[in-house]
Amino acid sequence: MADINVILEYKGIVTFAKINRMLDRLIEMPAFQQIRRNIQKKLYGIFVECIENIYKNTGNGRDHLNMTKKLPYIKMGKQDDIFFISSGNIIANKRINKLKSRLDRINHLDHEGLKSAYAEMLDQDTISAEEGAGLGLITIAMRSGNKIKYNFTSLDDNHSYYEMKVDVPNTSSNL
Amino acid sequence: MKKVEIVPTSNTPRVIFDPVSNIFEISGESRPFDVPSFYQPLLSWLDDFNQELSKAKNPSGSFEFKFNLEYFNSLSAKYILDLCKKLSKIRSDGHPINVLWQYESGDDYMYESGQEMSRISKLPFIYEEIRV
Repeated sequence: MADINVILEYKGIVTFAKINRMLDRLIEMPAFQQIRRNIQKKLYGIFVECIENIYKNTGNGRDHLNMTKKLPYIKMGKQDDIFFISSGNIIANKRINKLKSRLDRINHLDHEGLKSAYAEMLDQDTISAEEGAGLGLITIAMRSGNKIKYNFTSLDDNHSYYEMKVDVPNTSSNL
Repeated sequence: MKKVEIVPTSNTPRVIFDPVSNIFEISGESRPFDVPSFYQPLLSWLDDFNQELSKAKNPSGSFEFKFNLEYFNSLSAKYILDLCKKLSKIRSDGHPINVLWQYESGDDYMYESGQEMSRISKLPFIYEEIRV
């Protein structure tokens, strides 16, 4: 197993200002700038969806829970010539089943299937936070060209820690 | 009509809706803090613009609308589709619009999302691959 090269790693409470600072830092980093442009764009897009997902899930007064239980994290790195983005945040147990079935459904779709699902979700008139998260996951899958790996670790009767990881191979195109 | 000119930031795109100069453009990055508040005024502006066009006795020729987006988040995508639907309405009301969808070479997601938006809104796009 080759060493993991970490490009950017953050653990802590996520605010909108923090997202901006993190992205500003990312695009200035030599380790990121060295990456081929089309891979950079994929990584950037996935990174933003993941960090915004954490922000949506853990903001709005739920910070206290994260402080006392387990902090969110996001990481971009490279291992064996494959880039990856991984993230983790607390989730209410009652939301797990829906999220899990959404992830499984997305992971079973091929590229054309993802495009159809993307179009269908894009064209819905109203969007709830849940649906917003669904569109975000489809976007992540479309950008990466790979399955979304995920894991839930129980923290207590009501909460779990949700982690996901997406690979982006260092090739010119996944089409 | 008063033109729209929004200066870009690291999380909001440049927007120019200028009927006098016939420049309509959205470019840059879109992940505003409050996505609906950013896009709602633009959608309303296009409604008003369509009404103005319909009232005009001698409407001008075709309009050129350019999308040159580097990145948009998934909620912005929904609003960009709404903009396309407004443009499609203007077009179907008899006002010719040419839409240019620019995307960076190798940015498959940007190209494919353009295709889907064009298809859903029934608004033909001209695609232009930009080599960086």
